[in-house]
Amino acid sequence: MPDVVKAVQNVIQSFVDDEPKSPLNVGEVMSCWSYLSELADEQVHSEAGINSTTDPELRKAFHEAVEMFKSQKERISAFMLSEGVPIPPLCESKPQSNPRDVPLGAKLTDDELANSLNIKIVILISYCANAIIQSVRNDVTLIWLEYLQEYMTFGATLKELVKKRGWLKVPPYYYAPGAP
Amino acid sequence: MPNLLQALKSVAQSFIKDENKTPLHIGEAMGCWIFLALVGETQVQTEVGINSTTDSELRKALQEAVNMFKSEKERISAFMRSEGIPLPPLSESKPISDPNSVPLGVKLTDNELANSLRKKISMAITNCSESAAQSIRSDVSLLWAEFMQEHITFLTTFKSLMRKRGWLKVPPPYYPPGLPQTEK
Repeated sequence: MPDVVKAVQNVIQSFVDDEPKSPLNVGEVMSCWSYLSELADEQVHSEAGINSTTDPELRKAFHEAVEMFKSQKERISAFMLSEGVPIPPLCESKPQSNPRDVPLGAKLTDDELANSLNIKIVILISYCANAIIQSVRNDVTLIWLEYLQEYMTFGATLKELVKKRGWLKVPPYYYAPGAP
Repeated sequence: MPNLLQALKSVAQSFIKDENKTPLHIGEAMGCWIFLALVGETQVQTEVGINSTTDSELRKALQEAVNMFKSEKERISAFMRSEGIPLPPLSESKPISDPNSVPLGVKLTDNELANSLRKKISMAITNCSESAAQSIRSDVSLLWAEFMQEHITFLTTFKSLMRKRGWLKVPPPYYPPGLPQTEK
């Protein structure tokens, strides 16, 4: 997977160098803006997730997700600031707290937490893909491609965990009529 | 908005009568399955939201959302069962608990809760429209139109609450160069 992305990146990079930098179009700005506000939300939700479970594997996955969101947040904010795009109001990080103290009405089970993390990754992947479609400038495409690759890699490892623990939900199988 | 649905319904109804009920195709089945799985998750997360806030307006909105999700869940599962589609594993409802005893590391603020509900509803709307676009049988399209209308109506009222409380995040305004200044 990273190799494929590397190859695509190299091709695009060669175009980036030759390209005159036009201002961002409204679609590109909109994707950056809504993506950043989305990222901050997801980061806070994942932090709340860490504070709701004692399962070491799941906590590790959440920690990795938070690190990824944080680093992407920094990179995209730096890019937005350099292009003069205003930053949306962002959620603040959650403090640490004891997972055992969470009342059951507000505590998601490990299964629900894992699936909610899965859904987040799915949403973010489609965000990135959408943003790629809308971007005209190649350097912007590259940013999204990088994020997309990070999610695909993370999603693949997360799926292994979810499958191993029996949390994966699989749509009905397709039985072809007359299949041997 | 409901009138629009009424009009659509009567048009679709006339087609439904003439239509031979073919078995669902895989796209329609997938749409139903995913939607039910998502609505189930969303309902539980919204219940968690109710148990994390003491704001009466927000609690009311979240409760309305839960009721909507529940009724949609019932309708779509009944439809799926009648068409022979297996149901996805669903999460169970959360018990009621005291919002004040939620540790701060887990408790989402009212602003975060409102924004996450808004996002979930927008996702459901996208989901409904995608499924509506894929469906061939008119009765299935009608089902999605109904769900979509409910979500849009809810989102419209909810957005006005969000705006009133200052929770709504607004993207940068678009200033076209040379726009004539209009007096307001």
